[in-house]
Amino acid sequence: MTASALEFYVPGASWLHRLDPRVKLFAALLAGVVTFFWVNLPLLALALVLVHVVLLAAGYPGERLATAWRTISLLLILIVIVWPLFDHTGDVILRLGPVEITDNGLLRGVANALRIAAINFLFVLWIGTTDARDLIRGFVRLGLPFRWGMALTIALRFIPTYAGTWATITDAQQARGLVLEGWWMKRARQMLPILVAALVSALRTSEQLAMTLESRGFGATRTRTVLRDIEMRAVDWIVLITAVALAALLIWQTLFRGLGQALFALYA
Amino acid sequence: MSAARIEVDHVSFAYPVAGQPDHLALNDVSLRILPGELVAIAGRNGSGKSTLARHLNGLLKPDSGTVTVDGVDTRNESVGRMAARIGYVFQNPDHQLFLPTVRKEIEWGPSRLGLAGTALDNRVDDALERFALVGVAERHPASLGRGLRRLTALAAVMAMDPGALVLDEPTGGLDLRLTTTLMTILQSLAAEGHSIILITHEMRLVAEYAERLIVLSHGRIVADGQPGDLFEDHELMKSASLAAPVAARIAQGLEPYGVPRGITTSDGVVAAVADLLARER
Repeated sequence: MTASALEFYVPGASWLHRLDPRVKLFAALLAGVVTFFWVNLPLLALALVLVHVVLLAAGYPGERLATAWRTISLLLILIVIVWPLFDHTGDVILRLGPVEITDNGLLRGVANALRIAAINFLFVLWIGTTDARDLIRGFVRLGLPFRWGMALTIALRFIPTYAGTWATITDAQQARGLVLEGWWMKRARQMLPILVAALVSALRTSEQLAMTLESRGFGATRTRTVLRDIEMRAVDWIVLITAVALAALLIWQTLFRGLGQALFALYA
Repeated sequence: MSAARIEVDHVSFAYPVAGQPDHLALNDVSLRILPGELVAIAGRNGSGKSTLARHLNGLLKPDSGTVTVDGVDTRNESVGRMAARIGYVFQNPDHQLFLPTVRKEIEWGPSRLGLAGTALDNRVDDALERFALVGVAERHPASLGRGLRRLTALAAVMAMDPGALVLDEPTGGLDLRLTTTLMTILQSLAAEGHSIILITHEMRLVAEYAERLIVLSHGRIVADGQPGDLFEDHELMKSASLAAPVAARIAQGLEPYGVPRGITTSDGVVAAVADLLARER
């Protein structure tokens, strides 16, 4: 995996890009909460499709979405496989020695995978269309101390860098004799050299970064001015109010009327 | 003709990039490296030298063609197991170290190969001695300077006693003294029959220590020969963004006065000039 594959943000000037980052965050969070309570397959699939439609309509490249799918595919497959091992509701459809797989268990596994996928892409919706500076400015305007905002910016900025370092270290350790093979429990233990070297690397990077920040004047002035600020426009308020109203309606229907609580029927 | 240690046979390779037509990072590359050779691979950034190096121990597998080390095809063996045949020292030593002492770091590789007891202790002691690490054997690698960390990584890789060794920009960030130490060790390893492959931009190093220079450009080998000969090919050097070392250029300039061809080192130039002057007297 290349480092750039993990950089979610794609610059653009669509309505979604221009939407206030705070509004985007709330809308994505609310949508995440709603999806979290659902196990209904058609609803979850619809949510997933909807997120994709919105992202594509905002000019988010389909290639990046495909990359995101590839990245989470292993996790999703794992959920579908592992869930039925613990969920034995419904009729048995498969028996492998002591292991029983039920139809309900399997479908719930799929539902959970869909839910994780939907929440993942809601995250892409927010972070993929928001410039890091606006993102942090949004948090700071919501009351986050500037220093914490800065830490958050750095954390986000370094995710792809660390992913690249991890890949390099994996190569480097194999080149000195680390054998990575066998089933995953064995592999997990084999990862130790990579983990230690990655930690040391990260510590060195952070130490250097701290010096770089200070030498560039971080924390030199008490009163901060802002080059790029964000303001709520009328359209931001409209989207926010609509999102809150819609979420309230859906949460009410979900919690008190049983929306999305059955696997196939809309209402339980 | 003696048996090649590394055999690269018509290798082509393209990095898979989504949505882009395949750009060949290696285009039909063939070469043989013999035991005891000290070879430098040079070329501008993006010429394919790192891609080639990563093929030698199987970190990358060819799209077409084959790479064999000691007769073993890299496609049939995991990188971790290839390490017993061909070592690879990365640019950043921190990426290859992970244990609390230099001694443990060196022990790790050979113990993977099944060495234990006195045999293992001897192997480690030899490596500590050879790579001048005896004084820091019990230190934490992270507490050492960059040069010593690089020597530790090299010692850890060589402790598995591979027949071949690849080093990616081994002297970056090292001062002259450590560079000399490192290169002298590499020379003695080559003299014992190890094949040493250096990826480097530093033509002075190539002039002083390498007996063979391979120049890559756009994924192809454009030259493969003695450094002294290649330094005289100005077109080649220019097209590969390489600068012949000052000593080689001075020697070329002094050719009309009787300085022999193929001199590439400052010691060589000084000796040749002294010789000429002495003869006149």
